[in-house]
Amino acid sequence: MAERIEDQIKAMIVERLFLSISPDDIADDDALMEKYEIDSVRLFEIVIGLEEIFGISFEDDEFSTEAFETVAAISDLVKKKQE
Amino acid sequence: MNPRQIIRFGPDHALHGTLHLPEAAPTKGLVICAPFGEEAKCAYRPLYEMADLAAAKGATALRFDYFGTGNSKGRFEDFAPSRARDDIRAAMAYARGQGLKKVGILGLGLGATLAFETAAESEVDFLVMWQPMVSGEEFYRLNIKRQLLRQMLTHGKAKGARSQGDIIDLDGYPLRKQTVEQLKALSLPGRAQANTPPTLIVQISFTSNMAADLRALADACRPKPDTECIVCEPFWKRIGFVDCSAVYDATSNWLDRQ
Repeated sequence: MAERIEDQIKAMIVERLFLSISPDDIADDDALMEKYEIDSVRLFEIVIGLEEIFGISFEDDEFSTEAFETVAAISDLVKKKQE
Repeated sequence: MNPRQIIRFGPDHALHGTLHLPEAAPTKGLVICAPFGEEAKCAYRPLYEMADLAAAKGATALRFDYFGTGNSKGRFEDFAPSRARDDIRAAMAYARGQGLKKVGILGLGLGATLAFETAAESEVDFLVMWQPMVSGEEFYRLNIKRQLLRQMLTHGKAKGARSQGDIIDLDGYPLRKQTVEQLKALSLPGRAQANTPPTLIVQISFTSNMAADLRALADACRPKPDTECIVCEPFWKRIGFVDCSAVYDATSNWLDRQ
């Protein structure tokens, strides 16, 4: 069975941000910025990771805090880009 | 801690540098090339520590600021890759003027890229590249992206890149359009030559698998460089402390053999 996009995103976040947690510890609706102290530098790592894993590229007007607030929101954005 | 000495060097003594000196007569010299902009700030301490380690092992290490940056003369918009390569050559000349028989370069990010290009045009005895910036086009794209993300966290939404007249704001740093074009034109595999000095390419990232672009660079060089993949946070992109000891150790062990 194909891995859920949400799970791929969580694994990527844990790996690239060197978090000492399991990807399963991240809930789909966790507020990422607050809970994992994600600043612009770390968010940059996430965006690069998304581009590499899903083969997508973000346009300038797609950068809004709502779009990157939770794993669920990021997943929606990725799915929309893949359509 | 080894002795240090502040120096001015280069044309009109415009460049500011710090020498990290060994206790005994030096065996070799190491010119250290910083990355660009915010990355240079975040990498300040690790490059200082690497210079100190090199001095403790008998080398004279020279850290310096490119023209237009840090404590060197000039305005930031005077920074340009072509000028920075001249600065590296001036640092090499200063080190050789100290009577050092072998002088090499250690660079990080854009600093590694400029060091590689300098080595293609000048006599460099050995080269260490920490996570070199392989594609200037990609470097520019990522810097703009980082700028947009910063805007997003400040204003809720990205406002877009800014430019005024001849000046482009690259993630908070003013660069001339001509400089941006120079940056975008940088491409390392294309600059690889058959006379690459003994070289160590160090990938510093979340994975121990070498990235395709760095592998392509290594494959393009003759003789083939040594490579290391070190799992370590990209300290030049982090504001807080990062333990870089694995990077220092791998580099220091390699330098011992040069």
